Amino acid sequence: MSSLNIFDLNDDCLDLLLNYLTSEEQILFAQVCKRFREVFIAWGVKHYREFGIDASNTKQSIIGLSTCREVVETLIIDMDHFDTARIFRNYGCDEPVICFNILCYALSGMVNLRRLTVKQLDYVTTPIKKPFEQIFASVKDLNDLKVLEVHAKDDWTFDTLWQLHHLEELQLQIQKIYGEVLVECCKSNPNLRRLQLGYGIVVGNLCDIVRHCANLETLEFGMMETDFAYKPLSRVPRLRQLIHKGARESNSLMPLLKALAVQPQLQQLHIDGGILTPQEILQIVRQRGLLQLKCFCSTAECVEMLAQLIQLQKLSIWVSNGCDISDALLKVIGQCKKLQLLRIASGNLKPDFIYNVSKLLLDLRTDTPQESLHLELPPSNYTKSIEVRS
Amino acid sequence: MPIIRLESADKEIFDTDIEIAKCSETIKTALEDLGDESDNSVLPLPNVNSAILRKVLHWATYHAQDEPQQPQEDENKEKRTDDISSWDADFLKVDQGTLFELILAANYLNIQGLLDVTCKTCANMIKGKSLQDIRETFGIANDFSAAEEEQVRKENEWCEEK
Repeated sequence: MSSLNIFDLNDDCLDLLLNYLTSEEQILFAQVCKRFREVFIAWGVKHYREFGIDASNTKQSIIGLSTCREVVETLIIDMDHFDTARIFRNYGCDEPVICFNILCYALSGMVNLRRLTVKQLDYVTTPIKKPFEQIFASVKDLNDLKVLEVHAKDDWTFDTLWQLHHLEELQLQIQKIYGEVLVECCKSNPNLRRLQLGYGIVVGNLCDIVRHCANLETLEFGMMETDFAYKPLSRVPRLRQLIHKGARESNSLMPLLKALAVQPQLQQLHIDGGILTPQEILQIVRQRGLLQLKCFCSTAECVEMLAQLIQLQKLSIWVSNGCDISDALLKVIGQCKKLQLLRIASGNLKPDFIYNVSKLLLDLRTDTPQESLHLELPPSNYTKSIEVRS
Repeated sequence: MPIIRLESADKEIFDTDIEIAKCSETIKTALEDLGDESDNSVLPLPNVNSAILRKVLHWATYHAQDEPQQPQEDENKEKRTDDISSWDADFLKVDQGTLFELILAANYLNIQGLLDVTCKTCANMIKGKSLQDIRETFGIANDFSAAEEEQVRKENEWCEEK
């Protein structure tokens, strides 16, 4: 006879034991006594540190999440889990309101949560009222929550977003947000470094945030506005990365770029959508410190002008009007000696372009070890060069 | 037959076939460290008493010809517990305390097969039981305060939905 008790097992052994239990039994195990609960939570680190709630989750895994809430660092909530629209669904929860309440309770205890994503990518029918605002209220006191990402297809309200105070990165891919809500949000999150806004979502004036963005370094947005609307963004004091996505009016970025060029500090500029006018290019090349550029050009002359950006490390361009840009690009490569990546998404090149680039680089990059250049060309060019040779 | 002399916590010496002793990764590593000097030398095992070491060696002798265990393919998947061989089941017809001592010894000596079968046996003592039954089985007192109890209840509301 031995007098040992189950408590004499060390945590390693109790941890092993959990692997032989079903998730229901594990939850029961965690309710037996404090020590078992601690063992379960320690075991939960590897399962719940990064966790996603989606349609496929079982109740048990979510109770486990609730029990282990203090170990969660990254959480993704897919609202699909709370959808009640589908009749023959065999997943998600049957009582979304109760589930959601427990989730909110668990959220409020996730003291190590750093990154939260809430997404609603498909239309959902759910009895939960203002789910996003309930979530914001639950996480408002979490000091470590630095990154919030919200995707929503339906038109929910986000009016209480300002309740969060510690955000450094905020991404909103939603239907709309009122300008004043965004202003309040920037005010209450003074350490915001990165703000990404979906196309045209701001109802009101985006530029009202400028005064409250002391630490903002990255701004991504997209809107169809007159050129005056953009200009005040140049007053964001630490802006390093500017991304505009989607359709815009011709020449609309001119005033903003011009204002930014006065004290050039921009390092990355991505303008996805809308061909840049020569006037806009003229202002872009005044951003002397630019390291990365992604844009649409209309002529070979415009491409050639980019050679003035001698600090450039990465360049991605799209030239769609069929003009030959080989010589212009050779000039860029010749001038921009720090270029590491040249990506031509669309554009016309001579068959001997690659040969000429190699020759140029051999002459230019004589240092050892040599800086390499990563070159990406549109597939049509490649095909064309083969045809010419045969 | 090369022999290793294993010494239990209570100083009993077990002359053991090296090949059998090597089912313990801990002993195997120790032997490799000893190198040529391992012949007839004494290896102390201060964490295992003679009664348990005798049982462990009994188990290891029976399983000496076993194929090495395949590593678990999926860590996250719940492991089966209904595949204990009848010899092992008989071998583990012991009191709780001895079972726990075997688990600890298997863990210390790093004998995967023995650890696996002892954990399974222990898990089977939990399976199918209510919370109160589990506490009674292992003689555990409920040490949650009323407030903690309420917290646990709240987490598990999820469970109670129909």
